[in-house]
Amino acid sequence: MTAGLARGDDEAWSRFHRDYGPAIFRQLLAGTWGDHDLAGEALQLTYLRVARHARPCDSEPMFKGWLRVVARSVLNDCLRKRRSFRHLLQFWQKQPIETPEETEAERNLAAALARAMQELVDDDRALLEAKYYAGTPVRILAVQLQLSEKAVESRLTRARAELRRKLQSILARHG
Amino acid sequence: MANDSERHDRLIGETYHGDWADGPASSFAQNAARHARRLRRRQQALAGVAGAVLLMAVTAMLFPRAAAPSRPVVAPKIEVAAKAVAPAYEIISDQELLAEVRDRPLLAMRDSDDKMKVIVLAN
Repeated sequence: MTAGLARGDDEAWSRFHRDYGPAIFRQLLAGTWGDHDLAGEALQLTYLRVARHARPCDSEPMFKGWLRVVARSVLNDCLRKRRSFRHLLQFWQKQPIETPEETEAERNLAAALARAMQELVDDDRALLEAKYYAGTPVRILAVQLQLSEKAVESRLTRARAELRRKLQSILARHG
Repeated sequence: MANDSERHDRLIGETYHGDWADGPASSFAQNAARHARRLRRRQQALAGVAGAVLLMAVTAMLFPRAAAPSRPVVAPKIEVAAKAVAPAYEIISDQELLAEVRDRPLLAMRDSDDKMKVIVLAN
């Protein structure tokens, strides 16, 4: 896949986006304390940087580690543009250690996500858990709930919007 | 089967971007693919130019005479002198005409078209 990324192969990039994009976005969202606009901008820039520097690589752990470093580097650049030097220092004071493992901010985001899920109404939480944690396809959910697939998609959209509001609220309180 | 971390990632991604694989976020991947292709084309073009320059440099070193620029052929300059072409006739005033023909014999005659011709008989 990495060779395809370097070539600019659309299929390789779709696979990359599907398989690696969500983890990069989570890292960026955690690094921005839930600032999804900044995280989205950093995600796009991370992709462009990957496009510029991608080389064939056989080791997936190595590739994942490299992606984390690239994303962190892009995030630093974005923060430097947006924030004053003092804010940047505060950021590094909170996250002084650069490691390829999960950072404190990412653990906080995971905890906030769990809490936001708990705050959802039961139906929404059950639907999101079935879709994302159990990996149940929308088609099967529609049969189980005796709804059309479109109706299930609408419910999922509403549930995600509610989850997002709660998550933002939690991150804002603890950020 | 995706692990817990990947499921969380997917949930977070779709919470903020809607459908991750085919929604608005997929444009990030398309842009990146275009960017990569553009970079690749540029690199290939640069490599081609660099190769051509290298080949020319090697050729010039190995075959200096052949590669030396031939003596320029200078085309002979053909200068056409601008000659002042005298006009076929000149309009002069009556005074000038009289000054020209004064004391010189003239012959006035009509031709077949009944046009008058004046001929100066002596310079």
